[in-house]
Amino acid sequence: MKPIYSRRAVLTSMGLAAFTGPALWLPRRSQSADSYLNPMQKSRVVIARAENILQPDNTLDAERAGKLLDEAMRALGGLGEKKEAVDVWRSLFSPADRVAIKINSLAGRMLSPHPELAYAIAERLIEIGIPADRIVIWDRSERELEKAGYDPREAKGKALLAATDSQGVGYEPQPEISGSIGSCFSRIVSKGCTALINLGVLKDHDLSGVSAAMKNLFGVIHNPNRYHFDVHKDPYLPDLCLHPYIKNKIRLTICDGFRGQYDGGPAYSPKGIWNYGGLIASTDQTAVDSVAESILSRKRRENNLPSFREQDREPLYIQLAEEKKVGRADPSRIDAVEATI
Amino acid sequence: MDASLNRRKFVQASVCAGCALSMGGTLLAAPGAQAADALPLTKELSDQEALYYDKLDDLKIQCKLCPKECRVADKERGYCGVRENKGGVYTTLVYGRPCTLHVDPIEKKPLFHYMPGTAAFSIATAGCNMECKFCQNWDISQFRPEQIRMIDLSPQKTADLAKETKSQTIAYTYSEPVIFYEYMYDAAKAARELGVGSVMISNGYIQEKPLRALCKQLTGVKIDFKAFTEKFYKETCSGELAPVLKALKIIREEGVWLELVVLIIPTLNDGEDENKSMAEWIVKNLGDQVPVHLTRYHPTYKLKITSTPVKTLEKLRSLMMKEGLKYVYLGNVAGHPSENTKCPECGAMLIRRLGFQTQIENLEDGECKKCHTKIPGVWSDPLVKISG
Ligand code: SF4
Repeated sequence: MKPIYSRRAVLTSMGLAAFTGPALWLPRRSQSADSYLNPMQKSRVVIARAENILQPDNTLDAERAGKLLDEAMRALGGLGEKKEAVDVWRSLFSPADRVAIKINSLAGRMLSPHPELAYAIAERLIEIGIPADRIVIWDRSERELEKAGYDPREAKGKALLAATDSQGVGYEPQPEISGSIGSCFSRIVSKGCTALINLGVLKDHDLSGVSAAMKNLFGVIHNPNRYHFDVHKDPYLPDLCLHPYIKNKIRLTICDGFRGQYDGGPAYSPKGIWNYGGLIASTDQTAVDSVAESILSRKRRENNLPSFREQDREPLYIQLAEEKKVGRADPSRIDAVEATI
Repeated sequence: MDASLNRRKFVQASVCAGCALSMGGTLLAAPGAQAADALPLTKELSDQEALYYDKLDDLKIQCKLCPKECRVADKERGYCGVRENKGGVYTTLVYGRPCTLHVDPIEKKPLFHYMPGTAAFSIATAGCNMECKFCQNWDISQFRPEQIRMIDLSPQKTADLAKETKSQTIAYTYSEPVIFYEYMYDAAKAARELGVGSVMISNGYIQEKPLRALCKQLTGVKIDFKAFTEKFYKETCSGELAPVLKALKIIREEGVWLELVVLIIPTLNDGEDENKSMAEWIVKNLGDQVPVHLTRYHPTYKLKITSTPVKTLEKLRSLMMKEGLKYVYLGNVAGHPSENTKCPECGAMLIRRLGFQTQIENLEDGECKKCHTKIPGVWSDPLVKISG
């Protein structure tokens, strides 16, 4: 396969070439778990939906997708009329950041975050002064990126495309323990970025029940298959999110729900697909998972499917994440707002 | 890259190692590892259909190779990371995809009663069906195949290369051969045709049906008997003890040569009661002739407990011998006299060992030269059955 990106660009721009020791940068604007400790504070989740963005060929109308993203960000910032979406981006990222946008490309072109949405996010980052070569859209393998429709020619000028298996990237050489998990982290998340955006998909998962936000981050470690057993009820995902590489770097979670899958996941399964027509955004990924769970559960009820609990895959990890102070799972502590264009 | 030229170079280098080994009778030089760099690398995973799985609804499958019985949805992998569901067909990604090849002395496995002083063409792929916190080879066993090096080497070529390197045996080792079952099985079959034996160095975490079929192709097995409590298997290895006990009995029933290794880790599995019970179980179920290697642990991977004191090993060795085991060796303790094989009847020195160097002294045709006691093991052609 042809190189999907310029090796030198990623190694140099994302700072991987220079690193031999532990991470040198600390994120400037950490949205760490501490910000959720205030019992009075709710986590805001924006559900932004609009018609006629998803095209019949499963691409997005890029312009309208960008507008919906802007509305989502305005709502996320709880902004009055005076502020623009760009201010919200500025409040989350600085021009000095190196931003890694982690996508979930396992299911291929039919059920991965749409490239148009990923590029729209990258364009907003560029707008606040982050150069395109300091933004990387990535997943585990170049092959998966390619199969999900990510093309270096289209990404050019917006972001770099890279994968952990890209030449010169790889995993950290030693495993790191975080609660119940012990894994080698992708160097993109350990050293290549100062800020992380979790860009997952709204979908059902055979083992975890829901795969929307936290589950996408299994793709940052070398051994996710070790933690698939009972992943729906074990603390693996919350523990992963508590590792400093994630906890200190994650700034924003966006779940692509233009197309969702309420059954038959994690691979693409046409019988469980529906057009949800939007996205879910928050700075609290646990809250995104909680909202995703209720959307998928509702859809399963409408289609007379057994509940996640009846199938012994209720995503209890979302509640565990609240107990472990990763974020908010309790709907009464989530401020869900809607947005549209 | 000129793969054939490089392959020739590899073979030449390995043959030299084989020559050193085949000098028998005198102290033999350990050959050391031969790099696999010369062989053709590939980025392509295999898509050979796996054996032993059931198809379920919605393109899901259930693997029946090892006791984990992973239920795997489309596009997902089992726990071992080397078997993937591709649209309802379970595939082995590592068929003919070793990540490492070495010509080792058989003593390194360790197998002490199996063709002493001979060469074992040793191969591994990525992956494992357990996760031992003390794994010495975690950098291959705990990775997916595409995350590390893959060599393109069919089972037939593997057997040919073993023969060319003058290895009497292929050892499936380093990671966990159970998870590359199909590759191991076919390579062992091809090797048998060439008169080369096959030994599996395994955790014994495998289901009965595949194990019985595999035993027909193997000439020896070494099982890492990790401890004698379910707690240890569960908490330290992400495995289970009961299926391993069952597998040990099956290997015995199938008549394949068997040796055991127990890595003794301070505070986790070094209790006297536990090891006494283990020895009792071995004597009762496998017989008193099974060689047991008590090896010294050193901190590695996720376990940071300090190294096992040699005294602990010595104490456990005498305890196990008191329970009736005839051959209990110490491992990872260079130069310790308990590395040698002595006749259990007259005490004559049969095989003297120093590290991986071996000198056969009073052993002839599987008997003690002094008192003619039969010594169990595979002492000549690995395709000839056990003499003890
Ligand atoms: S061999 Fe691998 S996939 Fe099969 S049951 Fe064992 S761990 Fe699971």
